[in-house]
Amino acid sequence: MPEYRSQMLALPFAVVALVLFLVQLIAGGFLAFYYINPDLLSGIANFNLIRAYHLNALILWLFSATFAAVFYMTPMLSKRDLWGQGLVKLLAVVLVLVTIGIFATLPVMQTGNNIWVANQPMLVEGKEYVEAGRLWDILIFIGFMIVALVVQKTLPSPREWPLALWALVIGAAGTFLLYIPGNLFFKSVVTSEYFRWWTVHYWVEGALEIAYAGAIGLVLMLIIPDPRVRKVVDKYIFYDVILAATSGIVGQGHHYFWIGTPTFWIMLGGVISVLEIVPLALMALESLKIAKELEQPFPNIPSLYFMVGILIFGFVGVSLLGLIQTWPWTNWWEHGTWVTPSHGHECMMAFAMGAIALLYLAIPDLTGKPVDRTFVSWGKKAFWLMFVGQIVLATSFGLAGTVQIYHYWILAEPWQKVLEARFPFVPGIVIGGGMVFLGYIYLASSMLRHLLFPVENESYQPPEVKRSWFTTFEGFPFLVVLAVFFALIGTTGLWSFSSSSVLQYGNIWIPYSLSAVAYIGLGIIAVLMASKLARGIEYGHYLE
Amino acid sequence: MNKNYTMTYAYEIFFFSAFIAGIAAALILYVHYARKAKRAEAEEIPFERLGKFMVAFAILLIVILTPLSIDPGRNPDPEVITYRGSTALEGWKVAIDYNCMGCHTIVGNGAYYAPELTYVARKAGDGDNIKSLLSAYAGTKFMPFHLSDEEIDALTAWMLYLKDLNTNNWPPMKDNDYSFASSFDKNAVRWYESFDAWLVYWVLTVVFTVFLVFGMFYWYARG
Repeated sequence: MPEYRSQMLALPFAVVALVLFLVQLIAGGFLAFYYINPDLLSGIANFNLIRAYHLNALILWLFSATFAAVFYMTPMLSKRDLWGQGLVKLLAVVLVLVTIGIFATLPVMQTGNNIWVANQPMLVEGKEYVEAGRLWDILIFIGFMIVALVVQKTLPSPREWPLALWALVIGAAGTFLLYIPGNLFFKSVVTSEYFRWWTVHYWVEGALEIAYAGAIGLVLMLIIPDPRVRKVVDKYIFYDVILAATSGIVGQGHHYFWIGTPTFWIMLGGVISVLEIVPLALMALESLKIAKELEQPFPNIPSLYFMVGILIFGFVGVSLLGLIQTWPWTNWWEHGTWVTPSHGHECMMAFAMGAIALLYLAIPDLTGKPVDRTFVSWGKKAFWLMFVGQIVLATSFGLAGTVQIYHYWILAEPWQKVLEARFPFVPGIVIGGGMVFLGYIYLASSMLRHLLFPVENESYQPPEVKRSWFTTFEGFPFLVVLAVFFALIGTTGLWSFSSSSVLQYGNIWIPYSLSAVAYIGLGIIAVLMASKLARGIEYGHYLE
Repeated sequence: MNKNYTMTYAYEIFFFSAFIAGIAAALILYVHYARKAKRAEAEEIPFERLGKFMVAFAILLIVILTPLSIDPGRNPDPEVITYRGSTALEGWKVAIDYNCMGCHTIVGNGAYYAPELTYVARKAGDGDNIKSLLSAYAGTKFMPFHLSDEEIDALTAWMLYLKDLNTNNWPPMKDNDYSFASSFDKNAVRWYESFDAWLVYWVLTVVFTVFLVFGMFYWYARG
């Protein structure tokens, strides 16, 4: 049993999150299936409907997992039970109803029978990421208000808050507030897209990044009761928040190159969004310092692995795969092709891993059972399957997108030919997605086993493993710099589409081979970095 | 075939290698200084006020740039563009009802299962061609839903609107010589866009990037 009874209220949100994650993965599987056989489901469940499920399940389960983390951590931070536990139970019911409501009304898009009230779409909003209708947005916003009220009433006065809690609160409040602009209906497509990116981009680059940095900082402070921790964490949170906010706010410009907004965004977005790699690279480097300074074994190994997952996908997926395509002259080629989802999938997986890390941390505490050997080994398998699967997926998307650029923009082939050109990479997407799905099975079964069945009595003790280059921090900063170089190779690959060598003489092997080197190299570096960081801390090999 | 292909090659090789060389030079500088740098022993959080100022400045910048960005003078008015009596605004609502963005991309954003709509509209050229495309595909396995004649007219008007959006030469087509920088001044609406500034953008971007990114690393290594 946890220290405070009301922490148990986090459990229903965790279960909802797990179920919705499964829905998201199944929808993703159907999307991949559409590329293999486009005819079978067409007319029954159209591609756009399944994609709407894929995105909305993601958003809802990230919300749900964040709620779980908030309700789990707030009592520990304020050293008393949650205020308004009835409201929290109501919120759980509302969340399930809203989810059912969204999933039940999205099929309206197949017949076009949307309801418009006061010039606002009520059932389907028809924009990427914010497909859910206005009706449900209002309920979701009420849910956010409930969370805010409960947290505000439970927490002590803000004067006593550590910086990490400030980050979590600002990030969570930002997530809620930034949900509004993307949902509004504007007559102009340009204005509509302009504000939709406020929701999508500021979630990822601003609110969620800050919130998860804060949550991880708080977790470190709670599980390692050492006065030095607060100082280290405070400094780390401050720089992360400042750098992420500064570069992320104006870095928004990389979405505004070609949507009908003025040309000054090409300069601003080009310059500032490149800076977005800085906070995430520093975060990866800083984590080494924190681990070294604390010199403590980490008590919850699955959670540790998924935290490392956030760091590595944050650095490689969010910032470096983003860097390849954020330069105006490469973005001009890749915009609107499959190069974009290679970055998008790793971005979202970084946040998904943040949510999973928090769930893994909360569950042994909520059940009061020890972190046993099976829990840890299944958790580790879940991590590696998801991590490598996501890299395979992103690499396939990136290479297929590079091929698409040539066939669609330069050869100007009809769409059917473009689909055929991308087709050789679809198996990669299926294999990567399948690995993520297998990882999910390990993840869900490790959690459900811990919740429902008796576990071994002994806590997991890391085995004695021989030190090697793969389990120490040695050379980690070099890998960071090497990864930046591979991203620059990818940049050159996309950029070389502009050269006369490709445009006039058709030397298409230049961009293809540069992209292949970049994506495969970045994938290998990501695995090496994750191995060094996660296994190094697990086995204690980072200590000299 | 371009007669001056040697010159073109030389020019491109110069820019590609200047890019790589600039970044390599900055990296060497960084490694050099990072080795020399002694870790400063900071008691409190250094640069706290500067950091807060930077965030405030970024927010202020976005607030200032938002009205300029959604400048209605830059793009056509969706209520003015019509096709057989339907306005582009009505078409936008139909596009939302059917969630077109779930398969297509619109100005490059959306799903990648079906063609880019701005591109389709520009290739089709005029309203009648767009309408014939829509009529041909609606109700088939590619677009498996029924569209009424009014809905098709409205969508046609909306795609004519997409065609006229001022998207800074995107998407890459023969019409813009496959060059995003070919001439921004063609698209300029206000004074701050009225110079052909791609070279300035290019130089500024590279210089700022190299110095800021590696400057940050340098600053970090100093502690």
